[in-house]
Amino acid sequence: MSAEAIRVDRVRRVYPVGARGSLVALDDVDLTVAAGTFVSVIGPSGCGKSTLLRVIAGLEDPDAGAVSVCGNTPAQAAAAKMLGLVPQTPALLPWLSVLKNVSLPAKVNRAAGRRRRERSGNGGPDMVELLRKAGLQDVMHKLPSQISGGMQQRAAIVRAFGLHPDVLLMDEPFSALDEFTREALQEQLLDLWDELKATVLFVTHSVSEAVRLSDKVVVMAPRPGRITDVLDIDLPRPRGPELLASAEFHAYEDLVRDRLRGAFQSTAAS
Amino acid sequence: MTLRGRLSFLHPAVWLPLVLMVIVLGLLWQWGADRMPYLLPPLGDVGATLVEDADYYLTNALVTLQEAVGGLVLGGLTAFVLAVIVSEFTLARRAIMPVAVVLNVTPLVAIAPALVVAFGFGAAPKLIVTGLICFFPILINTSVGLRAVPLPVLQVYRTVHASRLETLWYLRVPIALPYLFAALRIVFPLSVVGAVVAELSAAGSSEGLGTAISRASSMNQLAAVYASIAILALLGSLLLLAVTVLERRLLHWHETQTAR
Repeated sequence: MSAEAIRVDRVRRVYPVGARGSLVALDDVDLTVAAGTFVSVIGPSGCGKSTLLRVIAGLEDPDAGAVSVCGNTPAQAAAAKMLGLVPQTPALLPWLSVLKNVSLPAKVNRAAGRRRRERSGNGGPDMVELLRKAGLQDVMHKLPSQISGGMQQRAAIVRAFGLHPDVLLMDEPFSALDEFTREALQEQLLDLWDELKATVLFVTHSVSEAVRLSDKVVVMAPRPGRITDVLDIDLPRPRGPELLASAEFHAYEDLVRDRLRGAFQSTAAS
Repeated sequence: MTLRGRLSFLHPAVWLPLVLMVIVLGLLWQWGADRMPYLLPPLGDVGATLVEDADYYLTNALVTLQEAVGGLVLGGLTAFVLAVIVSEFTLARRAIMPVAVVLNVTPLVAIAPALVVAFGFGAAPKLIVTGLICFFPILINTSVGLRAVPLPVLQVYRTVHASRLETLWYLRVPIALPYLFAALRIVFPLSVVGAVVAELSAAGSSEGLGTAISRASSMNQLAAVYASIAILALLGSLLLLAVTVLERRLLHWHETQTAR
C-alpha cells in the first residue's frame, strides 16, 4: 500500500448553469493526502470544497484529471469498502435504533466486508464498543428522533468509523451544531481517529475547527474553485480544550484567516 | 394509553357532540319517514329486517367483503410490484405510467359492465373492478415514496457500494411505507365501493350486498335497501379501522404516529 491515501491529479469539474453558462467548481486541482493524516479543506462558499469531497467519494466523476484512493479509483475503493462518508446531516434512518443504524453499513456489500476482515486479521467491528466510546451507550436502543442533534451526528460518525475505512470523508459534519456541542464532538472525533488511524479529509468553514483538528489545512478559493494554500499545523497532540486558549493556536488561526482573505482578494482581482 | 387518556375518552366533551348529532339525524329521518313513507323507511323497520334476516345480510356481507378484500390484495400487490419496477427503471416508467393514468381517468362504472360481459357473473369481474379502483392510489403513492430517500442517506450507502437490491430493501421500501399507508387509508374503504359497483353492474349475479340492494329496490323493499346500505357503511368503517391499527403497529417511528 502506498503512503499516499488520496491523490487528486489535475482534476477539473464543471457544472452547466442555464442554457450556455458554466461554473468551474474545480479547476486543475492537485492534492495529495498522506496515509493516516488529518487534513481539512477550508474556503468560502462556492469554492468547490464539497465538490472535491464528492469527487473523491466517487459520487461525481471529474470532467478531467484523475483521483486515486489508496491506489484505486474511487469506485473501486467504494466497492472494497475503503471509504466512509459523514454528510452534513446525520442521515440516520428514522425507523432503526441507533445501534441498528450504525450497524447497517456492515450488512450491505458483505463480500467486501469479509475480504477486508480476512486481510486485516481482526474480527467484525464491535459497534456497541464504539458507541460506548462515543458516549452513546445509554441511547443505542433509542430511535434517532428521540436523541439530540449532537448525539445524532455522533452516531453518524460512529457509523462511518465502524467499517474501519482507510479514508474517512467528512462534509461539514458539525456545521449545524451549537458551539459547545461542536467542541465536545471535535474532541471525541480526535479520540476515535487516534485509535482507529484512518486518513481523514474534513471539509469545514470554521477556522478554529480546521486548526484544532488537522495536520494540514488546505485553503481553497472560488471562481474558479482551486487550492491557494496548504498549511502545516505543527501543534502537539492530543489537542485538548486548553490548547484552544494557547498563543500558538491563535497564531495558526490568524495565519489561516490571513490566507483565506488572500483567497478572497485573488478572486476579486481576477 | 395513560390513565388520563382513558378517562378523557369518557368525558362528555368527547362523546356528547357525536351522540347529539346522531339523535338529531335520527329525529330528522323519522320526521321524513312519517311524511314520505314511499321514500324513507322508518328506522324501526330497518332495524327489524336487520334482526329478522340477520343470516341473509351476514351471508351477503361476507360475499361483498371477500370481493373487496380479494380485489384489494390483487390490485394492491400488482400496484406495489409495478411501483418498484417503475421507480427502478426509467424506461418502464415511461411505458407504464401513461397507461396507468388513462386507466385511472376512465370511469370505472363504465368499465364494469364490459367486464361482466367478458368474464361473466362470477367473482372475476368483481375482483378486477375492485382491484382497478385500488390500483392507482397505491401505484402513485408507493412510486413517490420509493424515490423519497434523502440524498445524504443515498450518498452514505453509495460510498459503501450498497447494491440496488440492498438499497431497495433497506432504504427505499421502509421510506415508502408511510406513503403506502396514506394510499391504503384511501383504498381500504374504497374497495367496498368497487365490489358494490361490480355487483350492481352484473344484473344476473345472485349474492353480495350490491345485488341485495338492486333486488330489494326493484321490489320496493325500502327497509331492506337501507339495511344493506347501513351494513356497507359499517364494512367500510371496519376496513378503515383495520388499516389504522396496522399503521399504528408498523409506523410507530413515523412522525404522523408520534405527534399527537
